[in-house]
Amino acid sequence: MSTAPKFDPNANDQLICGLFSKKEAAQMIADGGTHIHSTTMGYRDEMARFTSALLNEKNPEPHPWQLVTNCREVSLGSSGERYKLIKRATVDMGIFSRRGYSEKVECVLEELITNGIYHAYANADGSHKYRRDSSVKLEDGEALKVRYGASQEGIFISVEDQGGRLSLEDIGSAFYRCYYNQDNQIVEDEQGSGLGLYMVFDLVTHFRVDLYPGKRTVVSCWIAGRRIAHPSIFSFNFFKRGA
Amino acid sequence: MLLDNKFNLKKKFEDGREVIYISGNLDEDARFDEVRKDQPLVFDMRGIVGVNSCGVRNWVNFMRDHKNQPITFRHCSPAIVHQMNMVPSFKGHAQVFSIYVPYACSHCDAEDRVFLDLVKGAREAPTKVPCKNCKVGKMEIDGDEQQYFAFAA
Repeated sequence: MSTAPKFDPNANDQLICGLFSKKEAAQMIADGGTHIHSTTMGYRDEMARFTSALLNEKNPEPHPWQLVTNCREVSLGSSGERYKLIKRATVDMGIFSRRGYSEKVECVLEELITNGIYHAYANADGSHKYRRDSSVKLEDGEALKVRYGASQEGIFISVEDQGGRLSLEDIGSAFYRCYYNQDNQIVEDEQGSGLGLYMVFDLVTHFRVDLYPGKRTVVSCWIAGRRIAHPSIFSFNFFKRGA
Repeated sequence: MLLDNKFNLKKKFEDGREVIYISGNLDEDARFDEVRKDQPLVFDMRGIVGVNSCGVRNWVNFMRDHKNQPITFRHCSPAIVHQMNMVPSFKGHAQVFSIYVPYACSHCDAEDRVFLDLVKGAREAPTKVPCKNCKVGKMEIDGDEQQYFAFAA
């Protein structure tokens, strides 16, 4: 494993390519890195080149892994519906009987959905609108859009909320705490343990956030199939739009 | 993570000692109130199928509250092993006696789990095992072996 390059927030090129661990990537993200690709191909990697092209666009298009042909979209309006949706998703994607794979997918779906419900929406004073220990029915216009699809190469999952509150700083500090401060990974907060996004990032191959501040957040993930997955091949992308 | 996999805790006496079987999803609803604080604890974890982030916190708090008792984990399912690797305090001061290692067939994609007794010195999982499903292919460890055994380092 190579030494991770130091991220320079003043550099024009926001894309960092190399072969890193997710722990090393977490440090870069905590330092403000927004586009990180760990690959054996360096800047010649197809996905990294795609990101490079997207950096100059006002409205970045989806990465190729987000374009699964049989993708489904389901609206979720309450916390009580989430387990039913997760089960349905694993059945729809044909992985329900594949225990190992479906456990991973269920974990990713549950953490993203839970984050969407309990962290995306705020009161006027900035406090969380919905308490983690309560059963929640989202108001009109707040429903989450959950998308999922499977191909031979892997699974695509995305969860979109209508709050737009997930910041790079929140992600960076959560990742840093969980990878570097392993005696204090867990937060004693009534809204959650602070582990959810870390668990998702650790499980997936590609992780992308599209933030429209105050409007919506789309968190998208790709879980590579077992023959393709490699712990050192992954990407992290954070696009902030309308900034 | 599913509705029909609610967390469950059962105690059984085996060979003169209490063994605590936990199963289902380890989540925010998991409760450990009935676990005693005055004896060594043995947890059988083969039945845990999923662990969410709040379940991790519940468990880590439980481990902290019982830090003065010897604790043993046995028959740890892959869901438990993944958590021990991601969150070191999940294992805490416990000794891990045995785990299940996930395998997948390179020929038919079938999955299986191989039991590994760490006490008897079996520190390494077999590289390949015959597939019971297709009887043609060989099963290999599903995932990165080094990562899977990181908790034991």
